[in-house]
Amino acid sequence: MMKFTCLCFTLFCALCSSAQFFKQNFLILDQVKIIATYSLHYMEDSTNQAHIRNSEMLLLLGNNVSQFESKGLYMSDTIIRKLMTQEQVQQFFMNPQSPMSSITYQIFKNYPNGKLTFTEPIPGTNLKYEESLDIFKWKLTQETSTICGYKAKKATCNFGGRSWVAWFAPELPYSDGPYKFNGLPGLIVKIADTRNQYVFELLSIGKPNKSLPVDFLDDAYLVTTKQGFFKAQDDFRADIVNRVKAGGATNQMQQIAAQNMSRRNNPIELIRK
Amino acid sequence: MATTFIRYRFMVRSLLTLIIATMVSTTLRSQVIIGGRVTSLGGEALARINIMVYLPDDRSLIAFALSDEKGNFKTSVNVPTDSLIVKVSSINYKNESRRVANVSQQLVFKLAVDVKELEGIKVIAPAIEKHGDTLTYFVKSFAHNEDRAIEDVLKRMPGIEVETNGQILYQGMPINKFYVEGLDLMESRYTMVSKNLPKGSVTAVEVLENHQPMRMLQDKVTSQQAALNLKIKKGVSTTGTASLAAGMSPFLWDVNITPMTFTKSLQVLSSLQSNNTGNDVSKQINELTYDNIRSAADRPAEKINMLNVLAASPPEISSSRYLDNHIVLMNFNMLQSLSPEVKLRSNIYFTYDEQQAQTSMIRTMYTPADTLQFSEQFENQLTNKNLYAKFNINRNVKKNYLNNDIKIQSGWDTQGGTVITGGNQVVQALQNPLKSFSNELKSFNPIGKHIWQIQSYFLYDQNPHNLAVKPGQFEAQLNDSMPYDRVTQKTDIKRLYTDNSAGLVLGIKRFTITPRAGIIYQQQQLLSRIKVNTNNTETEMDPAYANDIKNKHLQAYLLTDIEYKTRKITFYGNFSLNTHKLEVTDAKPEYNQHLTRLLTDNSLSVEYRITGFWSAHASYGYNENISDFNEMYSGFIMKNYRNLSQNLLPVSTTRTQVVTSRIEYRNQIISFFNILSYVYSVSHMASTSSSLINDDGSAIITSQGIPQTSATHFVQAYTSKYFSAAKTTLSLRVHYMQQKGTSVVNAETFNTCNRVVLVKPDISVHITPWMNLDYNLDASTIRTLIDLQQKSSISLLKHNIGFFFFPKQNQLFNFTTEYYRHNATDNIFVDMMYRYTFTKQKVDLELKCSNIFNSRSYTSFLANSFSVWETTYLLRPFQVIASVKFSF
Repeated sequence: MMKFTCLCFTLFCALCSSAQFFKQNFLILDQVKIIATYSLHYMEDSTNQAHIRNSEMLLLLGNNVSQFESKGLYMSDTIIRKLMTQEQVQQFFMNPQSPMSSITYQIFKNYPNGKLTFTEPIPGTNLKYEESLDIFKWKLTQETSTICGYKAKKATCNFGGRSWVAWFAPELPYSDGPYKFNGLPGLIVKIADTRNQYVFELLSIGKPNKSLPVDFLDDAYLVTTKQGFFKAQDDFRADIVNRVKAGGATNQMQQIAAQNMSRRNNPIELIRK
Repeated sequence: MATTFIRYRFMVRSLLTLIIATMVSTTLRSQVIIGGRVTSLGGEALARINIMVYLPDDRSLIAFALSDEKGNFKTSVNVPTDSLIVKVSSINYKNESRRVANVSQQLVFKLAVDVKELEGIKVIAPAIEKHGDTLTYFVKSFAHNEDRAIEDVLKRMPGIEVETNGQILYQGMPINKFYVEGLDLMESRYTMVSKNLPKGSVTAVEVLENHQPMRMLQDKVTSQQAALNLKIKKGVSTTGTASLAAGMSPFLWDVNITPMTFTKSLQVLSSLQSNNTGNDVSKQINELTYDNIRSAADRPAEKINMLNVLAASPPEISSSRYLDNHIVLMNFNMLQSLSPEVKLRSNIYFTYDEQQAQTSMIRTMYTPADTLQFSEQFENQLTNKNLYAKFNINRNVKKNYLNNDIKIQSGWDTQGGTVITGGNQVVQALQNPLKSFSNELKSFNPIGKHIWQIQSYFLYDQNPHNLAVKPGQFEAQLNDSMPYDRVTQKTDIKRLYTDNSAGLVLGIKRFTITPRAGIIYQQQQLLSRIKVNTNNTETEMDPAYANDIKNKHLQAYLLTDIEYKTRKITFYGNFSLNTHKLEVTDAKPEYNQHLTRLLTDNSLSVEYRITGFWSAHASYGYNENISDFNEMYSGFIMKNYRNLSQNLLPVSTTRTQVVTSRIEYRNQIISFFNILSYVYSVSHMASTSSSLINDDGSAIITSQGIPQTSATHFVQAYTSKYFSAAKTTLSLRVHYMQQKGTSVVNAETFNTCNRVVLVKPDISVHITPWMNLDYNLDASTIRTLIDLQQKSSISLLKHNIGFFFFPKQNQLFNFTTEYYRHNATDNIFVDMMYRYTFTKQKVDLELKCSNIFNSRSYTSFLANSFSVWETTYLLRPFQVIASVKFSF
C-alpha cells in the first residue's frame, strides 16, 4: 500500500509539472524619475598604482528615495527578477553561468526617512546597515566649472578618512550623488578623493523610457551597524585562508586566494572603527 | 605678458585681503541664522527641498540647507553685506527667490506644484537595455610600443578590464564569448589566445554588447553580457606558447609547446606535452564542465574494469608527490567554418603514458573466530596508449539550435606487475584494449513561445580483457589441487546503449513546467573463459568457468523537478518514474530471466533561513535500483590473481533511503561559524556477497540469497572563530561515522560494524596578509567490530604544519610537514617549495624545489566491513625544477 501511494505521488508530480516558482519580495520604494550614470575609476591595490579598475555605476533617482549600485549588479539583478518570466527561465535553463559584478553593494538614500540603507553580501551572508544621511559637513568654495554641460560648484568635505572634492550642479535640484554622498543643493556630477584613488564622474543623465521602480529586495539580511559591517568585511579579508579552506579549497587554492585578497587593500572608507 | 602676471597677482592679493577682511569682520559680527519652513500651497510640509543663500550678486552661493520631514530648515551665514538672496529649488515645486535683509529671521515658503522638464535632460533608453550594439576599437589607436600581446592593448580600451588571471571583463562583467574572426576556438580557455596573439596580427577588436550566442534566442532573450571578436590581419597568423622545465634528480623534464594558427575559415591549436615529474596531463582530456558531470551521472561508465592487475588504490595526497611517470600528450584542435551557420570542431588527443608504482600492503581480515593477515609487495608497470577523437558540429540558426558530438576512442592499455606474497612471487599481465564510439545530439526548437529540447545519446563499445597469471592460482578449483604454470582469464564485453528524450519548457504565469520523458535501451553481451596451461599445454575449463550472457534492457522514464522559493524557504523536489523491462539470455538456460519492474526515484529538500544568523536544511530521498549487469555472471570469473568470483542470483531491486539534516549558525560580524549535520542512509539488498578465503589470501567470492540491510550514520560538527586582535582562527571539526552491514566469510554469516571518530583542532595565524601559519592535529580512531566484538582499533595522531609566505607577488615559499607515530615507528614527511617567478619581456622563469627532506614513503589506513588495509607508497625523491615559459 505504502509503495502504491508512493508511486501514485510520483506519477502525479511527474505529470503535473516541474514547477520553478520564484517568489521574491520587493518593496517598491519609489518610481525612477532620472537615471544618472557615473564612471568610477578606483585603485584597488594601493601598492600597485598603475592598476586602476573601472566600473559603471547607476544612480536611480526617485522623488524621495534613490538607489545607487554598479551597472553590472543591476543587470544581473534584472536577470534574476526577470526569471519570473518564462523567457528568462529558458535562458537561465540553457546557460546557468550568470554574470557577476565586482562591486556588489547597494545604497538606498532616504530609506528609511533621513537615513540610508547599505547592503552588501559577504560570501554566505547578506548584510545590511543603516546610516544617517546627514553625515557630510560640506564646505562651499566659490570655484565653478562646467561638467557634462552643467555649471557646477565646488564643495569639499572629509569622509571615511579621505578628503573629498565634489562638484555639484544647482540646476539639477537633487540633493544626491554617487556612493553615500548627498546633502548638497544640486546633484554631484563629479567627486574624487584628493589622492585620486576613487573618482566618480557623471557620464550621462536621462529619463527612463518606461516606468522603473526604485525597489529593495526584502531578503533575510543580517542587520548590523556600519562598524559591524566593516569588521565582518575586514575579518573576511584577513581570514580568507580559513574561509576558503572551510569550503574545501586545496593548499594551493588557499595561497592563491590569500595572494588575490592581499591586492584588495584600499577600501573607499578607510576609517574602519 | 609680465604685466598680465602682475595684474593677476595683484588681483589674487586683493581677493585674499578681501577674504581675510571678511573673516575678521565675521569673527566680530554675530552669526546670522536663516531658518523657516517650506510647505505646499495647502500647507503640507515639504521635505528635501533645497534652500540656497546667495550674496546679493546672485552668483556666490554661501550657505545652503535641506528641509527636513517637517519642512523646517536652518542655516547660518557670516557675511558683511546688508542683504542676501534666498532661493528655493526642487524638482516638483516652483522655484522661488527672495531678497532679504542680512539679519536672523524665519522665512515661510509656500510652493506651487511645478514638475520641471529639466533642461538638457533628454528621454533616453536606459543604458541597460541596449540591443546588439557593436563597438569597434582599432588596435593602432590604443597600442603602445611596449605592448606585445593583444591582452596588453585590451587593457587600454575603455570599458574593458583584464584580471590578473587573464579573465576579460566588459563593464565589470565577464565576457561570454571570445571570438577570433567570429569563431570560438578556445571556449573558456581563451586566455591562451589573448595572452599570446601578437598585437600586430590584430587590426580591430569588436565589442558585441548584449551578445546572445544562440541565434534562436536573439529576439527573445536579451543577454546582459558582451562578447569580444578579434579581426585578424590578412594572411595566416601563427603564434603560441612554450614552457620548458628541467630538473633533477634523476633527470626530470616537463615540456609544453602550444602553437596556434588563425585564418578566417580555419583555426588550429595543437600542443605537445611531455613530462616525468608526476604531472598527470592526461586529465586534460576530461572536460569537467557542469553539463558533462550532469550527463555522466545518467550514463553507463565509459570503461568497465572487469579484470585488473592488483594494485593499491591511490593515496589521498597529490599525484605529483608519488606518481613515477613518463607521459607524452599530443593534442590537435581544429575549428572550421563550413558555412556561416555551421561550424565543425575537431579535437584529437593521443597519449602515451608509462607509470611505475611500488607499494606494500598489509591486509587484515576479521571473522568472529579468526583473524587473517596477508602482506603483499607490488611492483607494477602500466602502459596506456590512447587515441581519442571528438568531432562537434554546431548549427546555430534562427529556426533552431543543434549541437552534435561524435566521440571515438581507441585504447591499447597493458599492465604488468609482480606481487610477492607469502614468500611466493606471482607475475600478472593484463591487456585491455578498448574501442568505443558515441554520438550525442542536442537540439532546441521553438514551438510558439515555448522551447522543445531533444536529446539523443548513442554508445557502442567493446572492451575485451586478457589477464595472465604465473604461476597458476586456485589449484583446487582449476587444476585438481596440482601446481601449474599459468592461468589465463579472458572476458569480452560488447555494449550498446541509447538514451533518447524530449523535454519542454512551458511558461504558465509564474509557474515554469519542465517535464522530460525518455527511453533508454541497453543491450550487452558478456563472454568469458578461463584457460589453464600446464607444461605448455593449454586446457579450457568447463562451462562453470565460462559465460555467454546477453542482456536486453528497456527503460522508459518520466522525470521532473519542482522548485518553490520564498524569502525564507526554498523547497526543492525531484521525482522520477521508471519502468524497466529486462531479458537475460544465458548459454546456461536455467539462468534465463524475464522481468518487468516499475521503480521510482524521489527526493525532497527544504532549506529554511530562520534569521540572518541561523539556517536549517533537511532532505529525504527514496530510490529504487536494479542490479548492475556487470556484476551478474553465472560462470566463475578470475577478477584478479587472488579473487575468483561468481553471481548466480537473479536480478533484484535495491532500495535506498537517505535522510540529511543540517543546522548552521553563521555570524559574519564576530566571525563565528558553526555547523551541525547528520546523515543517515539505509539500503536493503536481496543478496550478500560471500568470501571463501584460502590460506594464501586468495578468495572465492559468490553471491548468496541472504537479504541484508546496510546502514550508515554520519554526524559532523564544525566550529570556527576568528580573533581579529590576535589575527588567529581557531577551529574544531569532529565527526563520527558508523557503518553496519552483513558479511559472509568462510560460510559464517556475521554482522560487521566500522566506527570512525575524527577530532581535528586547527589553529591558523595570519601573521601578515602575506604570511600564514597553520597547525592542526588529526586525531582519528578506526574501529572494526564483528558481531559487536571489537576486533581492531587503529588510533593515529597526525600533526600537520603548513606555512606559506609571499613577500612579493612573484615569490612564494611554502612549507608543509606531517608527523605521526604508528606501531612504534616515527613517520615524518616534509615538503618545502620555493617558487620565484621572474617576468620580463613576456618570459617567465620559475624555480621550484620539492620534498627537500627527501622522505621516501607515505602510509595510509583504510577500513571497510571486515578488512583493514595498511598501505605504504614510495614517494618521489627530492627534486629541483627550473622552468622557462615564453611566447613565440
